[in-house]
Amino acid sequence: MFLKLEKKKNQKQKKSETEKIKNGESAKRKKKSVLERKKAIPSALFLAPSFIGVMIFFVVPFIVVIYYSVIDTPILKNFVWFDNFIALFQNKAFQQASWNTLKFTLISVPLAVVLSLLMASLLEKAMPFKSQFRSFFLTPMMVPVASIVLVFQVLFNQNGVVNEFLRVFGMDKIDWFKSDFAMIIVVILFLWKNLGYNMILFMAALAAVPKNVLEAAKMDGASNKQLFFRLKLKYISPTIFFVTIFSIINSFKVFREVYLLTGDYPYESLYMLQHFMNNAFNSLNYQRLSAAAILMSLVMIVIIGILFLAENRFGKDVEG
Amino acid sequence: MKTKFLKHAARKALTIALSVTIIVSVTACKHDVDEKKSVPDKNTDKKTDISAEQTGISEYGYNIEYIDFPKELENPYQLVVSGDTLYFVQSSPYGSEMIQSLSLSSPENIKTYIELEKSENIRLEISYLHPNADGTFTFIQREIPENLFSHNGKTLDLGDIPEEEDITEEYLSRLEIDLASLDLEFNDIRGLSVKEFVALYERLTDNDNYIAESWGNGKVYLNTIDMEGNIVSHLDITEHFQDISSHNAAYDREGNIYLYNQKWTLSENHLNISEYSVLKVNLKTGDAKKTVIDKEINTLFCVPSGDIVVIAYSTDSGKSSVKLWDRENNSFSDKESILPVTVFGTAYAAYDDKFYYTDSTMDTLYLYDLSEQKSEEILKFIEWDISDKTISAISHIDDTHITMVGSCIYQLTRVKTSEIVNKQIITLACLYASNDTKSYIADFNKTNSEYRIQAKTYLNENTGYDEAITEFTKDILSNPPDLIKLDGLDYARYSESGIFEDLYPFMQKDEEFKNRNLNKNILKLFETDGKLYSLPATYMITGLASAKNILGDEPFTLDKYMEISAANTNKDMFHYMSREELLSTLFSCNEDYLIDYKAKSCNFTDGIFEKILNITKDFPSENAVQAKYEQDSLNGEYIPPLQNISEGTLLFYKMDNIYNFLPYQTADFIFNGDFNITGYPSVEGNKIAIHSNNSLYAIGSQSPYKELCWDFIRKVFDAELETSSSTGFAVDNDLFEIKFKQMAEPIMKQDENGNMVEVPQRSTEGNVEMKFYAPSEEMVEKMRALIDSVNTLLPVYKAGDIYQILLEEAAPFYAGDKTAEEVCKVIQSRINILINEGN
Repeated sequence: MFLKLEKKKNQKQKKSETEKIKNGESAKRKKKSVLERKKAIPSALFLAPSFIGVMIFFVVPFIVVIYYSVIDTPILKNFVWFDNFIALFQNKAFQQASWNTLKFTLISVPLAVVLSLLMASLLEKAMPFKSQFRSFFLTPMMVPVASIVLVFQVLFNQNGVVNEFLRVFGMDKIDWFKSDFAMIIVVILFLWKNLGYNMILFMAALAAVPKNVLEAAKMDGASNKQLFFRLKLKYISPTIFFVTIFSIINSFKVFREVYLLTGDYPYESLYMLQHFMNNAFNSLNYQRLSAAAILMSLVMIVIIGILFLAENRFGKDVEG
Repeated sequence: MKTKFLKHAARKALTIALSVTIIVSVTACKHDVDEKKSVPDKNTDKKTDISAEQTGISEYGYNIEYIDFPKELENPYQLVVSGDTLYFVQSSPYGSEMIQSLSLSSPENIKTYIELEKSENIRLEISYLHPNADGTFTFIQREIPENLFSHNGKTLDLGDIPEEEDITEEYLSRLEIDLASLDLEFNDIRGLSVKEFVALYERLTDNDNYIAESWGNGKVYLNTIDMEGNIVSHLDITEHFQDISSHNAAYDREGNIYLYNQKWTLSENHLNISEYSVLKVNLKTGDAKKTVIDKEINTLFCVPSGDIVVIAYSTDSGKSSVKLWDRENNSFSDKESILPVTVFGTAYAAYDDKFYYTDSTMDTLYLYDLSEQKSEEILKFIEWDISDKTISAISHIDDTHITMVGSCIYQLTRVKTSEIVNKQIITLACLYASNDTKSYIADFNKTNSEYRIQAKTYLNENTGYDEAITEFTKDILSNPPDLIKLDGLDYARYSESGIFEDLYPFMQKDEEFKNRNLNKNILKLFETDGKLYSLPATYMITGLASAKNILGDEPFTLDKYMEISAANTNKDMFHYMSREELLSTLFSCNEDYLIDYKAKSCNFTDGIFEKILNITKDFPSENAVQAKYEQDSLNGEYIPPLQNISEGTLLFYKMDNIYNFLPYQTADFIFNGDFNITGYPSVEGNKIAIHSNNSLYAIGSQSPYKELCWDFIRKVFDAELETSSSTGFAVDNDLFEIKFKQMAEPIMKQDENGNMVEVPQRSTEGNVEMKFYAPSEEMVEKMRALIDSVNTLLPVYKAGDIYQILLEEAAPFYAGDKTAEEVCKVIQSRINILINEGN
């Protein structure tokens, strides 16, 4: 019994001590949260401008786009939920535009990445006029779009330079921008404009590969091919990832040149998603435009997600 | 510690300041949602008060009273307001000219001061009417011989005079032409061929203004009469106008009139102004002094301070400039100031050294202060429901009253904005507000006490079409208009977005309107997806007339056209037709074959469109047609289409505006009663097209004033039906029948024996003179059959993008760079995308 009493007493003591500790801790926590709150207010005020800006210029418009995509017209504003998306999938013009955009991206982006990497590798070696070549490849970036369009029109017009050249060899003229060759011209245009910048990025990435690792590998008997594929590629994988995303984004921007070359309604092989959306805007068909924009962003998220995974897997053993 | 505290405080203060700055700047960007503006109004009959916001003056607005002219006043001219009195000149049915007046406070009483009788073969003109301070009137009276116009429009009969030979005095004598009556000497025409001279002669005699221009061709008197109509002075001043004509005048306070004159001379078959001058004439003595000046002026007038003000166009600034006329030295003053706009017409003395003027588009009234050289905007006409294109007189009564005279009398009283009751605004969006639109708006506003329509125009001298469309598109969502004028809009593009309201429910709900017997066939042509967004009041038929033996009884298909064209290579198919115009027309007539909008498919590659391209290829470009037309007109080689047909060089007579019997009777005449009227070639060969010249209005689907908007559209519909005799066949079947019967009735007049005889309608085109009596029963039936067979609407802006594509792709085909097949393939691709984009 005495033992029981002692036990009870001890338990009580423990309890009170625990409570004391808890109270002490909560007092400390209270003191801490008051301090934190005091710090939080100025932090929030500091963040407020950026937060408001992001809300106003990104989040709110995005919500508005989602809203437009689920109503019938911005005039009548009746909710139709997914009808716009269904109509979009069934729309032949949208199908054509999506296919063309996908085709263009699948052709031009890998070419942009591979060719620029190749050029960067070549320029990495010691060679004469290296910096001049670098400037030469960067120059297209400085040329205004209108000038590029003008040049390409002169080259590929029905009576342009290229057709005159073909005529010399007895070949018929081709209306380049209104034929199935149009996509090729636009791919060339895209590569010409964007290779330089990608090349610079790769050159910087290649320069950052640790020399000692490369030397060690050489000493171990690795060939140049093995050095490139087994080491350099892994080290520059973040850059490849970045250049790929950047090229994808730029591939959408090619609409500018295509629009200037061919107008609102180009030949079917050049009809891109941006044409579809631009024309939807002009016709006040904002619901169709919004639905297309949301679909496009979902696709982009998926693509970038896949790229992220690939980059994580491929480059993880060299990341610090 | 203290430092730490200060740092902490400073950081806090900076944070708060930054946050506040950014938040304020972001909220300041908020778009001002345009609440329905209120416009002040006092609910009175034919009165409208306008807010200060609309006038641009912060404190004041205007009370406007509209006074209609009495019915007896038909076509007054030379209007002058002085005090409470409007003075004017009116022509009587017998050719005499009456100087009259009416009191603005009781306009029904017209007082006649004097009636000037005209002599036989003399035309009488009164100009520059001016009430003098002593109660008399001064005016210029011109007497012009009527035989100056005897050759108006007629071709000379050369007889056996060869056209290719040079004109000689002997030929002139045989043709009985008096060169002096044309203000010509033989040296002026020496070297011209007979043909060239005849063309020149016809042009000169066709131009009444030129002949009458030189005031010395008649008599010129400077008259002053008193209030009883007694002639105080009658001065013959003809000698001062031997070779000049007067275009403007001003009276000073010293009893002089200043006339601005021009001298025209003929040089290389062109009329040129060779001299400008100011002639100062004393009203009492008739003594005149002429001063030659170095530039053309628009107007001159006298301000109350006594200065003579001259307004001229300044080529440097592209606007009008103001100078004073130095009366002592008889020259312009050195000081010149530039007005903010180009002045339209004349300007009007206000008070002191100020004057009123309007801009060239007659949108705004300004007041100019000569001493301060400043312009002040007084009002915008459209906002005040003043739709007149011509304001004939403005009088400054006092600081708060202005009187303006146009199609009616406007009495403006300046009031404070606070005294004015608000009116709700109904916005009418339009690319441009035509005179008709302004007139309809003004009529609606005058009769509505709670609401007023305000036009919002998007096209002006500073904005191009694309910018205007962009602005309009932005407003559709952010600030949707109540009414939309469809002129210039590709409304098929907008119709899918639901911005227009279907008018059929309004027509059904309107008790009076639903019982109207409207032509459903015509309305169907204006529908889009079964909905009617605009209501045309009238329509015209577009067709082609040809001799029966050309087409026979066969339908006018594309193949038939090609067959006819191949068989008549030495003849023209159409008169001054360009390939672009024909391409657009043939596409319109075959649009339902080429494009199936419902099934979202198009059909440009099956050979039909190739035929259209091949047909149009034979025609010249638009620029070439225009250039040829101008060249032919200048050289006197222009031959009207009827003359071409009568000579057998033209096969098809274009009739773009069939809305009465005249075109039908013309075809009957020219083809000797044996003819066909068809549409343009089409696949089935049975297309008869119409178009409407009416301005079309739609109701915005987001408008809270739809009933009022319908009220406006109805009023416009009725107003346009009233003038349908000159604008087309009425869509209202009952009115159509009335007018159709009237058209078919003979025009009867009493002859010298008192008998009623039918008078023919006469028409001349080139050397073809036609006389038309009332149409026969058979012709009436055929006309009805033509009207009943219309089945196509010629669009103006219905499918702008499609036309752009067609013209763009056809260009290399016309240039020979591509085959028709290649062009059709590209067009198929592009238009396929276009029509599939829509939902």
